[in-house]
Amino acid sequence: MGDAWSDMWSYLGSDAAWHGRNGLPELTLAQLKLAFAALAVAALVALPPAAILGHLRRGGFLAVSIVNLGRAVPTYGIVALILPFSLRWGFGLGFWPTMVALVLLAIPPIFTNTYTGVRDVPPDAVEAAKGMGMQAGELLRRVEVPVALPLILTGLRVSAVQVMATATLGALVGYRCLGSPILSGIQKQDKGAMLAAAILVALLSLATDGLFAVGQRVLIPWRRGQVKRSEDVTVTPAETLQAPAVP
Amino acid sequence: MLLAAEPLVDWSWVSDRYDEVWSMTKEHLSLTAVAVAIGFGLAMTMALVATRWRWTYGLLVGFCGILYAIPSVALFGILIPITGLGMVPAEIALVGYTLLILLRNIVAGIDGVPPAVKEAADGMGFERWRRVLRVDLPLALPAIIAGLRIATVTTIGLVTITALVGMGGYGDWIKYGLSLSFPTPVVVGTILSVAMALAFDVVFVGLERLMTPWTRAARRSSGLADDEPAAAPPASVPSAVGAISG
Amino acid sequence: MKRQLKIVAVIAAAGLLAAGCGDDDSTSSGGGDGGGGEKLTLGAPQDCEENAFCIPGLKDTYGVDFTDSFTPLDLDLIPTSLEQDAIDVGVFLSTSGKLTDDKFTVLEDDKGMLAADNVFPVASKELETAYGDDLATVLNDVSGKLDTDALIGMNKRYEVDHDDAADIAKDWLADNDLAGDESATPKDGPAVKIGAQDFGESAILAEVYKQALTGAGFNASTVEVGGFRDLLFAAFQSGDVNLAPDYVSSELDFLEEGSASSDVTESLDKLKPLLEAKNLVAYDASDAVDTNTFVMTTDRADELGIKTLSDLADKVNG
Repeated sequence: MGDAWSDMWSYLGSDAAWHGRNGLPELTLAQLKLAFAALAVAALVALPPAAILGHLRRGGFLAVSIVNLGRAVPTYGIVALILPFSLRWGFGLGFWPTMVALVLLAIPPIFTNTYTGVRDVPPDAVEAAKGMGMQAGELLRRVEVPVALPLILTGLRVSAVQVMATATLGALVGYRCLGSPILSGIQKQDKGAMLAAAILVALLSLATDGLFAVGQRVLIPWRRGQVKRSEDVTVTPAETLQAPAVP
Repeated sequence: MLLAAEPLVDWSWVSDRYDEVWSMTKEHLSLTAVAVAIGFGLAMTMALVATRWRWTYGLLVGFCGILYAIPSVALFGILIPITGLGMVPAEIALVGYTLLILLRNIVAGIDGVPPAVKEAADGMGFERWRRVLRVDLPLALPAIIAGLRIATVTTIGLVTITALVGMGGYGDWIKYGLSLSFPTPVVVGTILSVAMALAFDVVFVGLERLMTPWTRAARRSSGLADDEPAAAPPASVPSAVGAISG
Repeated sequence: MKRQLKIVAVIAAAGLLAAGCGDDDSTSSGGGDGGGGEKLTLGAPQDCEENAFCIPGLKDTYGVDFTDSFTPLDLDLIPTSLEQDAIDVGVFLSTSGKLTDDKFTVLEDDKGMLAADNVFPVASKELETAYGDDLATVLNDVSGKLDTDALIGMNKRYEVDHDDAADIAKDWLADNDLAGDESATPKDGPAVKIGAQDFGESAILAEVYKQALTGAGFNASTVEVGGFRDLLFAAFQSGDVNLAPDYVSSELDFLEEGSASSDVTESLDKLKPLLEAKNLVAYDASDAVDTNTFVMTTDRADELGIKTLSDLADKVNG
């Protein structure tokens, strides 16, 4: 290990690490760009239908199955599988196959959490809003989604970390990102770049998670210091995924 | 592979290699079993510590959360210079991903035991550890099994990525297919991995129902109980994600 | 809170914009340093910029600089990229099975720049001492018949037909009268453990050695080293492996960085003492060379009138 550690410092001291298309900044930027884009697309695709279904209280089975399937599917396989299709349909290597794989993988947590969050809005709140004359759309927007926000944000957070992680795998299908030096390092004697990139990815993933944690606090000030509501099912956001509500 | 006319899967290639499928299956199963077993042991230890000394919970969850958030490829990149390739880095990574979900579920399970029951047991003269062993844990079983279920299913998906460090299970075929731009083993390897995961999922669901049919209502509230006290936990990473294998 | 949601929405929109501008990893930024020349992109593994037999070699020997028009790509993905015209020139291994396909043309290394990565057997001193000439004969016979075309053929079966290494080796040995026979007298001595690195050609070569040796009465088996050269050497050290196929130039570079050249005899001479220091012995090299080679699609090469690397340099430099 001592070798790799010193290799890493020499790598970090070298010009190659910081400049040009293989430099860490470029690779990091590529990673972030991909992750961000994929998360945004996944959210756009998954949030509206999930919210609507939750509001209608239908499709619970879908929510449960989607997350079960998502858990069961190996990311490695999906990334590798998308490649032949991407080539067949003219999307080439690199960015697009990875993007598609990432979006597919990011959808389940967002979908299920949004669905459960909206569906589990306390009936009292829904009744009260209806009593005030709110129609479906308004109800959804002004009451259900805001109340479901903790869970929705958790779903986004879970997906965000997942996406940051999987973007690393993009290197397998030709997307130059932080995964590239890691994967090529397996074959090289000098593991300095591999170690540097690996640590960087780890930090990025943790930062992503931390960012969302902070975001959750900021956007949901009324839930700060989770108060335990004794009898009812206070859904700790994470738990939704582990005991998906049986429809 | 580029020709639209070519089928995605060459089944004859697969049928010539059933013995390989079998040996991959065995490797996949053993990698999973070892990871979940070790993960369970560690998580149980941490859970017992956390229920006894509450203040440690935040730290332990934080630590497991960090391990969970780090993508496997990055973890491999950090481990390989120390451990080389093979079973060791593979299992370290796999075990690392089970810890968070198992820890949280075991603790949630123990916390979910109604205080009345615990008091009754204490009243009957149980020492603390005996009570935990004979009362708390058995009652926490549903939550524990739920955690094992998720941990197992997630691990099965993750085993494929260990192909990058020389292990792999069904991941061997995914890696082979990727290197030759040959879809067949990639498709079949992926399908087999999903099939195994779903099979175990079904088994665990069955186990959950079998063990505790009468506590389904209680299970819901215990599994969903707020397991964090008033202070918000530190790096509390959300649990249960589909294959955070990146 | 509404305002905060708006901020989130803006960030999300920015994310989409990023997606839109995201596809920059396959742009060819034009190449070469000639004002009037063709802009051609080179697709090669990431280390091409530092690899003496890649970009620097092209620069020094042929006077063409691809530094600005180089797209880093995994070796496995290069054939596809070339076919799709995402790159103009691609680095292939000279024994790649894809080279049996007429649609690819190898550019001739007319000035002899490429590394002498001839396949040769490396054995532990212990093994050499135990068997002496018996071992040497088998290995040298194999090396005598092994050439680049043979490897291309074998790799083609592996990469394109998806056959197994063992079957491929068996057929090649049979075709070349190297399979030996079951009546060979069993040899007394240590078991031969042949290390295979984690890529198809290594597996095939290991099988070739293994079956040839078994046919000559040795107790031989293959061992998957689970990685690449560094693991192979570790396996030699630990005794898990006592024989392996390797490549002259690359091994020399591994043991003594910067020493590799395009001269196989010179390289082998430099290699032998280095190996000796590790209790290893080199046997004769074969004519099979597996090195970086530069390939274009036949159509493109014909269109531009390029047959050799000198032609390529001329075209780019204008």
